[in-house]
Amino acid sequence: MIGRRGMAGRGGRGVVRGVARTAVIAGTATATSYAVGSRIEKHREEKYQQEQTELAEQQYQNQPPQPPPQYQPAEPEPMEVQAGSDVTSQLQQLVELKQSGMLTDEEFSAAKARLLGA
Amino acid sequence: MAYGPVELRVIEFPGNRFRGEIIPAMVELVEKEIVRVIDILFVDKAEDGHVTVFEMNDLDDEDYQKFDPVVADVTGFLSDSDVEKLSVDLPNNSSAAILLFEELWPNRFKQAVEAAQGKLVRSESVSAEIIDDLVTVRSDGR
Repeated sequence: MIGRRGMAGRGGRGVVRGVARTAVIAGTATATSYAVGSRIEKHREEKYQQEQTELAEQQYQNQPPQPPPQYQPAEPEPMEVQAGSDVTSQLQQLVELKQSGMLTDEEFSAAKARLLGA
Repeated sequence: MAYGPVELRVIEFPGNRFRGEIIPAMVELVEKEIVRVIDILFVDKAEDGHVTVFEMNDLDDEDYQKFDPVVADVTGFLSDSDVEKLSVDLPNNSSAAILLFEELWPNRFKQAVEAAQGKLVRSESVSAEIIDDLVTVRSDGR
């Protein structure tokens, strides 16, 4: 056996990203490498997790179905009375009525006084 | 240390007969310092689809001595998950070498440009599909 080199582990994120399909790796040929062990460990771990998931799914299926959440119609928001803008728009209307000749000066003044509560 | 552009190469062989046979393809690139091999591993896919991974250190002495001069480093950048993904497309009863080539010439080219008071402002790969398309159009006389 000739001298061999130091080896980095292969537990990193890798260079191929975003591919869903994977092959099952039976193991490495390295007799001494931890890689074989870690791979087997990984398989055991995955199997355990799969079993746990199946167990959880069975438990879920045994539960009575939950009623679907009731739809709650939103309460209509109470209309906010905007006194200020209301008075302003009515004054505006009065001004227009007076300008168009519908109201005399006196009628305009009386309506204005009533509107302003004066 | 900053790496130059790195290319992933998967070289597939039918059967399980290769190892050192890909060396001649790599020697010239390495000797001329066009590429540097910064990671390498080998996979065998058996008749039943089982994949076995071989590292440099798993090679027999003869193959190891062939690869040793052309492999600069075994960084481990190629991960277990890479092997799993890349092995999917291998046919059963085949072998492959998976390599990472660091390209060395782009840096040298950039340095040469800068030595000439130039500035490399854009550098990108054009896909083979695009070039093939241009060639086809030209040969069609269009």
